[in-house]
Amino acid sequence: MELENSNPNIYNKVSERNITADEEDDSVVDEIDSREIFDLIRGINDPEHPLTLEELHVVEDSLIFVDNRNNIVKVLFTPTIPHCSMATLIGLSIRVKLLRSLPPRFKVSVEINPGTHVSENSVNKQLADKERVAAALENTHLIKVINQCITPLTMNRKRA
Amino acid sequence: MEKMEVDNYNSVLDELLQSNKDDKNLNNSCIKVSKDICSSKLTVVDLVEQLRVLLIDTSSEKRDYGLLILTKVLNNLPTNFLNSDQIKFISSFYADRLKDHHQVVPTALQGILVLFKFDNIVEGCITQILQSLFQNISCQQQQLHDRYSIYQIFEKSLQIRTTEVLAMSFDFVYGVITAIDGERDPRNLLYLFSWLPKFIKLVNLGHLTEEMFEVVACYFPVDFKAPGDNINGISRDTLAQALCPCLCCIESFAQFCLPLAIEKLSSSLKTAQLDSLDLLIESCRMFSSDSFAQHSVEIWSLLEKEVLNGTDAQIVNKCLETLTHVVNKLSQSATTTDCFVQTVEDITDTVKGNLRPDTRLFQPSVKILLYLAKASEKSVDYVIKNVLPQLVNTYNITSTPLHQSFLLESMVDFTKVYVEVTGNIDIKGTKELSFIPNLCLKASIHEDPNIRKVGLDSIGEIAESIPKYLRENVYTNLKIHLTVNQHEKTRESAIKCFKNYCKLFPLEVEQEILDKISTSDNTSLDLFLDALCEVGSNAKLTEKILKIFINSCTNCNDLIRFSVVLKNLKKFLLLSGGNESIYAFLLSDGGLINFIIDLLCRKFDETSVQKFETLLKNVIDVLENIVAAQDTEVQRAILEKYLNPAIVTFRDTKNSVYVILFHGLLCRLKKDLAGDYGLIGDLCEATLQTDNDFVFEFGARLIANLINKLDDEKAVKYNLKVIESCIEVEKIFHKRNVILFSWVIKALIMRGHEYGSLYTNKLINMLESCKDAPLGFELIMSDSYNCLSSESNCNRRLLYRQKFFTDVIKQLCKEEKQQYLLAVGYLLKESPKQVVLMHFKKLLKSIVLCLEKIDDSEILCSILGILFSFLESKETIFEDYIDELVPRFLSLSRFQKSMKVRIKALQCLQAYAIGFTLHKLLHQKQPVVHELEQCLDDPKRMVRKEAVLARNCWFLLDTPT
Repeated sequence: MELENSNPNIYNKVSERNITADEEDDSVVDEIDSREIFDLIRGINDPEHPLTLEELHVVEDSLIFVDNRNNIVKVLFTPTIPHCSMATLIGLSIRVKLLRSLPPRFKVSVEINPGTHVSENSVNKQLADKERVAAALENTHLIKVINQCITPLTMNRKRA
Repeated sequence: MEKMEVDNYNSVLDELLQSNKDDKNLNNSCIKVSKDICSSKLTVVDLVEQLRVLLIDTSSEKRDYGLLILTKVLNNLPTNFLNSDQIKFISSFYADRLKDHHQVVPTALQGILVLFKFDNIVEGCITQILQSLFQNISCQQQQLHDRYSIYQIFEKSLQIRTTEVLAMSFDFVYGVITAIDGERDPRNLLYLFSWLPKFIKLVNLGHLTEEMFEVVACYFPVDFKAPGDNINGISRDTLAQALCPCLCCIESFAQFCLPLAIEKLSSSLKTAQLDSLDLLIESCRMFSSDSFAQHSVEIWSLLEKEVLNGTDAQIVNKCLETLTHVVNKLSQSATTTDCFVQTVEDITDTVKGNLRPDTRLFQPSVKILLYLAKASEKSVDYVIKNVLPQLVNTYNITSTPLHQSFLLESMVDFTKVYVEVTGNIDIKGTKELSFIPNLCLKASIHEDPNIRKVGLDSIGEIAESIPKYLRENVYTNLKIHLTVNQHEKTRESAIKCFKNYCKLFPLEVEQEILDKISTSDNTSLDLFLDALCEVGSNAKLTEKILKIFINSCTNCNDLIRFSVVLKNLKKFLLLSGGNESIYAFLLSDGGLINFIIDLLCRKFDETSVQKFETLLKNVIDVLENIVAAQDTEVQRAILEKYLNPAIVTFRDTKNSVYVILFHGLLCRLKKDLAGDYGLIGDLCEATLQTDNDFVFEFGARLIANLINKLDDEKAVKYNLKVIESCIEVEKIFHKRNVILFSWVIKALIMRGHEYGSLYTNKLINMLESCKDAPLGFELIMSDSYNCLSSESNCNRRLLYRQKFFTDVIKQLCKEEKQQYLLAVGYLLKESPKQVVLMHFKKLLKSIVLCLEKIDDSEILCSILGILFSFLESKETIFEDYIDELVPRFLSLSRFQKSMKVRIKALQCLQAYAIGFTLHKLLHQKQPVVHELEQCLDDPKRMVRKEAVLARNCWFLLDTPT
């Protein structure tokens, strides 16, 4: 299969989040913040390259919004090229990963960063449609690909 | 007389003739017959005559048996026994037997192999045998062992009568091809693969070349899965390695071999790709450059694709290696010069466009160019001329530190390849490279730590190519780098670089760095000495470095500085590894040991101990190190000089600091010097009465050490009484009394003393009355204490911990009281993993109770830690206890009091989800996934992180990936 974008720019990975004294203190409550959400999804693998979404700047810390009090999480992602056909798949992967990793009190929305994809609206609509997401997850082939994307590479190796 | 003997033979032979193949004595009887043929009591002709009955029998079984006897008898004859006529006769007989019933054939084949042992094989025999073999036997219809015999016959005949066999020409080649075609057994294949290259090189294949190649090529790439038990130890890789030389052993195979390798290289199977690459590399060794010239474009385009898109590091590396070999091959011959130049230009032009450090293809492209450069002197010249200027330019206009470091690294790599290929360390002459040292130097003082690191690494790596006038700058830089606190990785690189220069230019380093450096404050001294430790083993610098150590502490009164020096001296002794001259230097009158002891006795009392615990720990370590490295005589002298006066003062002043000194001097003594030195009573008193935990700890350790090493049984018992009376003086067990008591138990158990179990029972009885008693079990079980190690020359019974564990666990597991559970917990903390695993079934109840009832988070953590390590190593026994353990982990994942327990519990759950039998886990999936939902909202972030991992692992349990 020919790659759509064979030589994408790669960016630095941020270093692991430093553990603060507060985080080690049992009596302090750590709120869920955008960096934590970012840490959840930055390790997702790109469907095309052996790179993570973080390295390709598909997801960025600054494009994640968390409102703890009203239980809202909003994630914007940027496809590497405007006509990327993988955009829906990437969006779905992010959704599934967050679905499994965030407390159920949050309402999660995953959308394309405005102006970065040609068929932005239709992708957003698909990703927001609960029924369609659920239906997609019933599709064995699709869930297989998604599972591959959201399984960290290190774990894959362990399984093999 | 003679008649009688023949009759006797008749009886042996008669017996043989009456018997059958399965007779146990068959071998012995045959040996007997052979011996008698040798001693001329019987002739071969007689034997054949006698066997006649069997050999012409109508039943094939009988004929087989007759042939077997003949073969076995022949096998036991000396190799020069038969003359050429006899051989000729026997060989034509055997050749004839190949036409016989299929049951007779295996023995006939064996017989032929036996015949090949004899010296007098004449012209014609082998041709006759081989022809009969080709005509009558269809090799692949024989059994495994017989096929093996046939292959051996081929090999042997070619070996013993080469010219005769070669004269058979295509008949022989065709016969062999037909025989081996379709062989499937790995053992036979391995045998064939090792012989075939010899065969192929020797015979003229002529029009059969392609057939021959095809017969072997059908196994490529090897597809073989070793059976579970794999008795013969043949793996896929062994077969693949053996096959490879068969495919490229002669030039005329090139026209078939290269297309095959190229075809399989584009396969989707990893093993196929790797095998093709191996084949290509091997081919470079055998085929001519011209053969490669035809395929160079194809090979390059495939390699390019693999390297640039490559996901698998192994394949990528092998591709790069292949590239070097192929290009090198092209460079070897004058006829392929054009093609070589063309290829190098092609590759460079294609890849050059990718050299922007911010893109994904940067690293793979650089790799391609590096491996291309490695191929030959011409290619390295070309690549460096065409690529380096571009890299230097990009470096100059790049502003991102990370990208700059990528560029610098690759430029240095090119330099290294240049030096490696041309063998010329002087790079000044090459215009493109002459900038590199300067760039590296600049980088090493760059403000960004990443670039500094790369700069330092580079300066170290190309040290020999850096000219003298630049080296002076390097030393100036190093002086700063070694004494300034900086990022760990940068420091590591600086030290590595320093080491390299010490090795290459010790004299310059001594003059430029060691003599000139000055360290004003203790931090920079610490850093400098730490760096010196790393080069201590460099013989040319050792003495100089030791002097620096001593000078930096003896002429000042600063205790912190002293502590710094001792800390590093400890490291120095450890790294330089017991050099005699070093110790002689330290023990001499002007040396360090005088100074240390003097200082310890003058400056310290009970109150100052607390402030300088690290210093004292270092004192102990250095003293121990020095004492340990000496032989008995020197140790005795040290004791006389320092210990005896110290004991006197200790008794006078009761200054507990002396305990530290005693520990340092006594712990590492050789066994011949073991004794109590009349100290144990005083030590007990001092340790139990001191206010200082540090002194107590080391006092207790010293007591344990002395008791353990004490040889005289009477003295042991006497001292134990003394200790007991000290400990039990108030009849109430304070923490210290219990700990000291545990140390004594440990010392006794280690040497296997009879009082060991007695005292252990006492400790178990204390459990209910004394809340600190469980701690004792951890202490006894632990093996991490230096004072009782074999380096301290202590008595250590084999497996003493295992014995203690089994003894104690019986009693502890009976009770369910909190204190007992705690004791189990502490015991487990230090137990050897194997023992715990062995007794796991017995322990399970206590462990589960511990997980439920104990709320001491430290113990819970350690138990969970142990379980986690078992789960990580996928101990199968844990599959049986899923229903016992998983629910406890789940409830501990919400353990209120400590996040550490929650984290450990979640890690255990993660470990359970990977690597165990799926169907045994599956029924727990729903509950786990459901209950972990709560943990996703844990107040602590670190717990949430583990919860996410655990929940995702369990989600993926049975889903397709």
